[in-house]
Amino acid sequence: MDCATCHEHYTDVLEGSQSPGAVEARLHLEQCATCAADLAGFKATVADLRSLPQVTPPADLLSRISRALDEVSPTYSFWRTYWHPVAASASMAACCLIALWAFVLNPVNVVDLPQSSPFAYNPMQQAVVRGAEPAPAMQPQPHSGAPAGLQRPYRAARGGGWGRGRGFVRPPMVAPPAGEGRTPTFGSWGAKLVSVPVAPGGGSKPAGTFAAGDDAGNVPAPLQRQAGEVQLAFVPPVERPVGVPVVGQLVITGQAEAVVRVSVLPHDGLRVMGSDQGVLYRGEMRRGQKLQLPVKMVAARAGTHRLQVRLEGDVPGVAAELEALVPGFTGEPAPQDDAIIRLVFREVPSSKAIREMAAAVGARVVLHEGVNGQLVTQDYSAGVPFKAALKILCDACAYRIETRGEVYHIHVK
Amino acid sequence: MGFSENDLIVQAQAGDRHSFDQLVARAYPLVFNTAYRILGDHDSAADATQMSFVRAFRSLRTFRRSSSFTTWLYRIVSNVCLDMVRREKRHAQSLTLDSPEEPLAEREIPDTRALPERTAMDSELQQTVHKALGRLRMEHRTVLIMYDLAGFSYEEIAEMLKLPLGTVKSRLNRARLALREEMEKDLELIG
Repeated sequence: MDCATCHEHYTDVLEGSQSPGAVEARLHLEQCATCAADLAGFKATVADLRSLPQVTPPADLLSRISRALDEVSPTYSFWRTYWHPVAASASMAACCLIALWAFVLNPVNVVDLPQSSPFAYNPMQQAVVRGAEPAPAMQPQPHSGAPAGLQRPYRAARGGGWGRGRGFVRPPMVAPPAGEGRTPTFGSWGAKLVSVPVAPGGGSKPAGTFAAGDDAGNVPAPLQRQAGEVQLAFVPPVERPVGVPVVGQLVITGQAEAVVRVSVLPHDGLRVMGSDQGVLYRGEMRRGQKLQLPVKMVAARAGTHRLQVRLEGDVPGVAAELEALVPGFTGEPAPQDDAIIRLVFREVPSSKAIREMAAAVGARVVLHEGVNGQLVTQDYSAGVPFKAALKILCDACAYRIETRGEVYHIHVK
Repeated sequence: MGFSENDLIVQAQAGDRHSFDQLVARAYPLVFNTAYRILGDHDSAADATQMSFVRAFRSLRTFRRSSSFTTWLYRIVSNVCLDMVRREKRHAQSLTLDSPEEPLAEREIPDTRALPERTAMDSELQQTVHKALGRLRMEHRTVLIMYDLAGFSYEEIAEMLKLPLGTVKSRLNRARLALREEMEKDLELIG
């Protein structure tokens, strides 16, 4: 293979392709220092491209899009322009009638709950007291050893990892603040969904501190649950080697007060470690607070991986979903074919040479009739991928290679 | 529980505008970023993003869900950007008659470093990459953005661009080589 042809296979080589072109290109790269250096430059260009940061859209873009959609949606515009006020008035009148019936004409309400009941004016809790089916709810686990109201939510030390003995504090299940007597019910209720996608090339933000509560010694103020807006962002790991645990950051900011649950759903080839059945965090989120959750992940293969993140809160509006794309996982563990051999054979029977090569990389070979003691002299001391070396030897001996699954069958041509 | 993308699409196709708004809210940063990398400036990218969603809204009923919504949306935004570049080129050609000293490439990727609010391009290297990307042929630029920045797979890109898989792979390699060449020109100038 010449240098120009080798350049055409750079991407295949970087991605560990086993195509014949990629295998030959690797052989060429072993021998051509110029191309090897050129490939390093090519790889750096790809890394530079992937390091381009995510650009923040203009603040008014969403409203611009919404206005533009209003204009192309005649039915919708007509509804908004002419019928919406009518419908609103009708709804208001209906609400008044229902309220009149519920609080004045319906005697059940007046006797059911005492005025001192904390649930007296809370429709949801009234429903619970009356025995109606509450919505599905997460059951928070109290943090062991401390009264519910004094529990200090999760806080991890800066630079702490997820493994044992590295300063990591596992996030506890946070109970609702004392005295509120409320079980959080997570949902979206037609939530305002705002998601910020991943910066595909990776980010350079340092791993920070995840603090979901006040400082040590301070008793957190009771959470005043309020609807609002929440944003999710994901900062992928800077280095993304395959098979090695790496840590990304999930950044949550919001203008709301709620108990939230953050769960992750990794897609094929990616595994997230340290989550409780996909739930990465349960606990309080306070207005203006920035939560940084480390996401430890391991990729099983090179390329792009996807990670679905969902945030659910116990008040309307606090919900968001994000599909994070994490491209650029590299350095897939060398498949058997690519394992380098450095053997030298001088006047060695071909069958013995093939068996030694296979043994050196743990490959399985079957020698068929006619593959025998033909003497070969081959020098692979420079380091040659197993499959390429096998091909060279077989070509020299007029053998044919047939691959069945993971087994190489060697025949006489 | 929040609605899944599929639920929202079904509801939006049934005429629920609120569901479509939620799809927009989820996807617009990604669409804007793609448009920005293709077109090279914020204002054009914002216009392209808006046009893409309008086009998607109009043709939502034709979306058969044989591909993902994101893939479908990317195809739309790519086409919108391509149309805008063509229009820009036609406009530039007519302008060139009057102002030949102003090359097209300079208009395509304006230097935004002087604007304090645009802090994304915070390094010389990123500026170099961004400008080099803007000088590539559209077909190269698109495949680089889709693969290296947006993270689509070869199969998804092949579907979006209606190209054979092998063509996508070879085009990506050529695009990366072309990008390096363009970057080297700039780096030589800087050096």
